[in-house]
Amino acid sequence: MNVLFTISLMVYFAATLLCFAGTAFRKDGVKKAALLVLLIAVAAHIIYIVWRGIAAHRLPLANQFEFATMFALMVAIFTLVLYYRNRTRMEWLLVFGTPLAFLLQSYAALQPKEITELMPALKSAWFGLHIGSAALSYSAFALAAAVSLRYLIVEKKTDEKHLTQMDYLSYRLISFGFLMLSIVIFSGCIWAEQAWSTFWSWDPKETWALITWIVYAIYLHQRLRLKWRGRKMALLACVSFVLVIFTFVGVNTLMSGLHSYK
Amino acid sequence: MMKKVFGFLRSMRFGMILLTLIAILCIAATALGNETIYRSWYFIALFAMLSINLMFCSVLRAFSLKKQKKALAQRAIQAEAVLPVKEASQWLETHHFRVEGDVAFRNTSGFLGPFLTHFAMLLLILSAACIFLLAQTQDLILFPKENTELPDGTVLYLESFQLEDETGETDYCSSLSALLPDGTETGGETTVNHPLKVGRYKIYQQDYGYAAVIGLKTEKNAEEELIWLEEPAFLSLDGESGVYYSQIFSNVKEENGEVMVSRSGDMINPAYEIQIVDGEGNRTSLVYPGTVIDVGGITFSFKDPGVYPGMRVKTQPEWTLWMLYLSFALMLLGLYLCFFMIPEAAHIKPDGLSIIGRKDISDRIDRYQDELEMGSSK
Repeated sequence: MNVLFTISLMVYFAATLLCFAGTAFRKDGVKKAALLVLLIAVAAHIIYIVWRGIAAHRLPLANQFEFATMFALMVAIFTLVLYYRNRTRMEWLLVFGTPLAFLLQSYAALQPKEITELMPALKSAWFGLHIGSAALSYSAFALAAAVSLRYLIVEKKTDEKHLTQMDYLSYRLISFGFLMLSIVIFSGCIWAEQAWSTFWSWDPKETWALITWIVYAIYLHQRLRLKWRGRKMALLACVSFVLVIFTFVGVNTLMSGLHSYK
Repeated sequence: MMKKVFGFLRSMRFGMILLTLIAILCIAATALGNETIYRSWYFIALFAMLSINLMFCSVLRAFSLKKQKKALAQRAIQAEAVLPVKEASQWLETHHFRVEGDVAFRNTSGFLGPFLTHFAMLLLILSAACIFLLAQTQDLILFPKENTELPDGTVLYLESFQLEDETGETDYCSSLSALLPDGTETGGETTVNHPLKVGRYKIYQQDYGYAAVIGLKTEKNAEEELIWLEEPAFLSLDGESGVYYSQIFSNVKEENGEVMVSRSGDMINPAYEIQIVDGEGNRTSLVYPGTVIDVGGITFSFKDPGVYPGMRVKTQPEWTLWMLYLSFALMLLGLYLCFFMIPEAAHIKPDGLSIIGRKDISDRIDRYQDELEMGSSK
């Protein structure tokens, strides 16, 4: 069944190419094909993840590969949901969401894919909530960064209403991601108390999750209280996402700690 | 002057500066691998100042809830109409607005969001401080069939420890029994993620290790006594001749007459490194489980290494736990109210309905009118 993973990766790549081609040549037919291909990729991806969960007898979220591929799937699903909700106004979402899903799936492809037994520390009722909400949170932040990136690219070429929509969408995604990240941290604290006897150990992963939480808290305060909008917010959303990437990839690669499940 | 100081202490700017400093110190601590930063006075002082900031800001928010509602109503009154009068009442009904005079409101619970979030953050820092000050932990190693006494007089006895359950799955399970200071007998199993509650203690399965297991027999004591050794020890009757146990090796292999050993990994092909001390001097030797030797009047019978648990015993007032859980719940509720219950106010004017609240109201009105048009065309 690993072939399904490879298929989904290739189909994401095809969808990415079609998205770029559709936008570059302004061909509606190509854009429609891109959407169809993305739907096929998501379907293959969902089947693969369900199969992996059944084969492993657990939620497929136990290592870097499984988290990365779930992250990619969440990004693709978020893209489709937002696209269908705002089809007439946000066609461009596909052009940013699809390559992002493809890049994440490519990163997953570089990780070891063996199905391993869940180590005792991970056998907990908190496993699904803690890691599932992390996948949701990261994908919301990823799409917010993608929307903000587009804001910065088209800022001078598009009308005010369109910019406001992008700015607001990015904020809504970040507020959802922030709520999910809070769930990640709180469920992690309760779980850590059961597994390691302390709520907080200043483990690198925990610390970087806190740093990410603080930076997004600053983003939300600047927006909600100081009424920052537009370019500044878009820049902050992109910079904050760099921290998410570091928490996801950098901490696992460069630092060892209680979260180093290898 | 006092007013200025108070104004700064409760300001968002101060809160943001503190959060930024905390984040910078966290980055420095992880980058340098220096965990002492988290226990330093300046790091703790930042959290203390953040608590002061949150306290002032939460109290003030609690007092300004009514003001915020009034201000929203005022903005709706001043805003331009966005829906024609004929659609106003249907919009208000569809979107569950509550009419109060000439202004209608929706999601007013959202006003509570920022207050709850900041109050919960304050509660969280206080709970963490209480836990930091009041929780006590102690790590202990217990060999099977051995007991230990905890500070309050509770006696803990390890019945057994296993790495795998009957299906072969790793589970690190210690079976314990305990005698509480009041004479009550209790017990149970502790595994990773499932600490055992014994009186006022919580017992956590933390770690495991391998120890040498050696059977000893003497002329006086013909019944074999098993001892577990985790550290080097000299076993002797007279203090002069006997066996000095130094360490345990795993994965012992003999290749081309040379012995290859390892100190890591699972205990496959184990061997003990010992020194035999007798009248002939000291001789270092590698012995395998099953070996029996007589030295200095003791018969040493080397068994398979035994596995033992490393446990953590913790006491912590129960209320600190509930205080922390309450802060988590309140913060999640607060964040939900902040982000998903955005207060809206609508004012019915002679020329239509003005709506104030969410930034995507114009989009929602466009969608609503599209739906109305689609409905009428059907």
